[in-house]
Amino acid sequence: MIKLLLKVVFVSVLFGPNISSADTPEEGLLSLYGDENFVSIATGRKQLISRAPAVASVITAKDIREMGAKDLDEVLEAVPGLHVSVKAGGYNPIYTIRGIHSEFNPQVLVLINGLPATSVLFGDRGQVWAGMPVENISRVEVIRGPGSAIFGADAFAGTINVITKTSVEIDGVETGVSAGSFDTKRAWLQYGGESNDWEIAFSMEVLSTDGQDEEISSDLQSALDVPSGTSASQAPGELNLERKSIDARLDLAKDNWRIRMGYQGRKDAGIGAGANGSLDPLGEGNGRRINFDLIYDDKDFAENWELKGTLSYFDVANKLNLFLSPPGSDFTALGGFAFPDGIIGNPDTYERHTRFELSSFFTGFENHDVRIGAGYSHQDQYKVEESKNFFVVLTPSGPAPVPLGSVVDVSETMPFNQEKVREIRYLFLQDEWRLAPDWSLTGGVRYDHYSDFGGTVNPRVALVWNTTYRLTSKLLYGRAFRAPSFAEQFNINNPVAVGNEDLDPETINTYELAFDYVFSNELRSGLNLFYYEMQDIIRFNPTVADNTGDQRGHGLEWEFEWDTTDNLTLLGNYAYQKSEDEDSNSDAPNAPGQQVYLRADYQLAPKWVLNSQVNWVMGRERAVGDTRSDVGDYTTMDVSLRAKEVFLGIEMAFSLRNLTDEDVFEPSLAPGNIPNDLPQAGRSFTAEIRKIW
Amino acid sequence: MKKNKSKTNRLYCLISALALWMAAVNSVADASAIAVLYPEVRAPYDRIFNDILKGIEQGSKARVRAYALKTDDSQGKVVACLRQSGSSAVISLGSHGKAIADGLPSDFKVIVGASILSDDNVAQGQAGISLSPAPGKLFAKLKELTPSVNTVNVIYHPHTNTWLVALAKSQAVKYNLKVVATPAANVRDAAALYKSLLGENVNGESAIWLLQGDPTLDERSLLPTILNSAWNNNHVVFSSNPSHVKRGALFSLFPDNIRMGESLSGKIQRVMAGDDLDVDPLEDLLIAVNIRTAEHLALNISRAQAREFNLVFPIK
Repeated sequence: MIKLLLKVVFVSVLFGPNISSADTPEEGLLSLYGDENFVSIATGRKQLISRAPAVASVITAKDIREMGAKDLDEVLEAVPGLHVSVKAGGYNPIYTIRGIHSEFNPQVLVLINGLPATSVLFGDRGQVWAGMPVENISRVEVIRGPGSAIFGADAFAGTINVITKTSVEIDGVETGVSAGSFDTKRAWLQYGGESNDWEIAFSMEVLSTDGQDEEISSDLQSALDVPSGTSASQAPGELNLERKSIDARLDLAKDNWRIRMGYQGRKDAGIGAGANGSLDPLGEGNGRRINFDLIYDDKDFAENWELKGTLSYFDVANKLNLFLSPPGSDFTALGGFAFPDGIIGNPDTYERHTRFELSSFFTGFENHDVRIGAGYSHQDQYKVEESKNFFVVLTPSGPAPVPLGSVVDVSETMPFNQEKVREIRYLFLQDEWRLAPDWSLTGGVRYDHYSDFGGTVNPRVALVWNTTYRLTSKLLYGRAFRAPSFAEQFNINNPVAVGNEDLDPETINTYELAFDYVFSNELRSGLNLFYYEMQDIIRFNPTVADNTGDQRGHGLEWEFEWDTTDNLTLLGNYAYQKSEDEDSNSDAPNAPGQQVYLRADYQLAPKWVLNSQVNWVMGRERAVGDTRSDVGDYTTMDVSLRAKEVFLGIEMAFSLRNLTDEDVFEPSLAPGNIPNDLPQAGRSFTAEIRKIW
Repeated sequence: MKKNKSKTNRLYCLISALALWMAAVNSVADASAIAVLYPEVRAPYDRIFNDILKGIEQGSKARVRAYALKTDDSQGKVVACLRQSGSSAVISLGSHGKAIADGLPSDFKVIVGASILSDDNVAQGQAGISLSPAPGKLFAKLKELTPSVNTVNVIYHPHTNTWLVALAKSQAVKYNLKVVATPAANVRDAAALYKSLLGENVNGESAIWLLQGDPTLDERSLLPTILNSAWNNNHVVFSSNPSHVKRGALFSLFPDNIRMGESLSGKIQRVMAGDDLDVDPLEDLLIAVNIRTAEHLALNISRAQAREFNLVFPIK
């Protein structure tokens, strides 16, 4: 720990204090506005965030820029109690919150501007997620704990709401380019302005990268090659994380109306460590996400009534070309078959989500703010296509692939999943009651009716007490649910993962006690304690999806933010959790037992900012039956140096991630088809320039 | 205009100096141009001046020339630039702009803005707009949020804010308020006075007004003590400084920079027309409110009311 602190301090003072008075803010301004953050909100360049009776973290665009983050996942690692792990296939993120970790990670709801970015197939963000760039992010709000009473399904372990920039947050035209390790190139263009009373914000970000290329020393095929007498495995070999992406967003606002349009295209995305535990340098994923949101928000709809209506359309396509075993695979020595071209599967899925919600605030009762609403969601997996050169049979010794002779279109004959529609209708009611000075009680309940599995009721209660001038205390309870995914319900033609249409949702009950203490204008700290119980966890048990598991957990998160001087801000957090799988009476696997995060933002000179951060991840245990030693702890350190408007108004930055080139691994699935886990990037750098025109 | 201003200005001054040395031609005089002197500060503080400049340009019929001042820019250099550009009317912003403006030859018409103006500035007959919010505007908001308050207590430094306190007393009448103003020579005296004030049982009938930039209000030690005691004793504290709201004062008014620019523009045009103006408090204001403090004081603030607030604290 002391070494960690020393590292932070060392990096912070590496270049020595070099404050020039040439253009420091004037004393009068400092007195009036205080810190930079205050100036940003007082000059209207920053959106205010209302207080939520929940355990929440907010990371702003300024934080994101100063920490040198380029992708949403790098941002989220800074949130207390949240660890970003990955799955082997495509290295898609697993947002592990408070000990809740699963392969497809449907227990965390990701919203973009308050609307789900969820693919219904696995309940995740889609199999070709391939990251989310950050230039157009205004802020990221993370609520740990249940949110189903507000957001509905999947706001289970936590909710991540990504808010994109509006016209007020973009000064005219902003452009930038960056380049760095792994042949990564980025460029972006943003515009914010007004025309004919319309507020207009436009953003386009493009990325091309070879991706980090750490080595997988051994994989599933390595283990099969030995008895098979083959050498088909691509291991030892590099990960495949190349990709090209484009993200474009348009935000138009006038009077009470707002229109948001977004396109996220993903091309030639590498399959990471392979979708089936074997390295797959030939496979790739292509995908798109399109959204169109129309929002009407009338704060003066009628006396004591506000009205908000949202109509949204979300289209997601994930197209995969996979080599589940590499060319040269031959299992005849094991009683199976030969696949000289490899085991090839090309599953494509297409979804359309149409949603409508109407909600209203009623403020006609003294000391009460009542919110009521209703909504409808239509989730349509309208096309499932698949071609492959195999099918699977169950044999006494396990599943065995059988050749089809060539790659055959099986979309009509034996697709892996089905074209299905799910309809959701819901109602919600919430009341914030200021029951006495310093006391407020927020109660809410939401009823969701799913066309496939029926109804679910999820309440929440939050009691907030302004205990003293410096201390605020909160007591929270919430219940949440996670809807079964279409894979869990409708998987077919795969004897090792059979869907079950009679599934119930997973549920969780969470109790939290939170404290926020303001020691001084320069130092604040927060502590929260939590306990949760998960029921009806959905697992393939062993081959058919079923509600089988229970899990309990408890822990705490502590955080602080300290403006030590006008030029140095320290912030950090510590998270501890202990969760137990009730079936196996063992610790819940793969999630960190403890995490420490420390960050120093150092204003070296008026236009120079140095940021360093240290992230320590500890205590990730294996699943029952996985005989490998526990996943190794690690400590990474990142440094970012940013110079604002030093030359022709250009801003420059240089970032180093994993400065010490620490060996970092995320756990591979039990029992260890990839025995040595999933390596993360070693030391890497990025150089960036940007300019506001 | 705003981003390359300093570089452009340096180039402009270089060319101007060369022109003077050669004494070849007279300057291209434009007596109707308004010069704005503002300090070159880093982001995001630069936005304050950018917004004020925008307001000045919006409100001005004459041409506006903006000069970003470096801390080492000398009086002589600035005067040379002003003369060269033919500007005879100057709006100075910030304390650095004001310091430069203080020494300008008397043929320049000057308005000061975006700095805290004191009794000395009033006595010198300066014309300008102080950053201090107009007391009348503060009192109007005080009555709106806490109707039961009938007395405003203010502790002030007699050589800094006497002009403002006198103005407050006259403006309070309109709002059925009585201003009880007590001078304090230093922080120690002020601390004793605040302790005495905060020890009184006021039953919501009196409030404490904290002044902006008053030397008797120590922000580091005295302010937290005042706000903590006020919380414990349910005293209403409002402030002329918005950063105090973040720390627990009930409300404050703070500059609407664009509109302030428009007002400065209006004033300089009046001065150019021959009017003799004084120091005025700031009338172009936005409001910041601490909802947590309001809840503690059992003030019933509706959502509709809260929507009118420009800043609401605490922020997550």
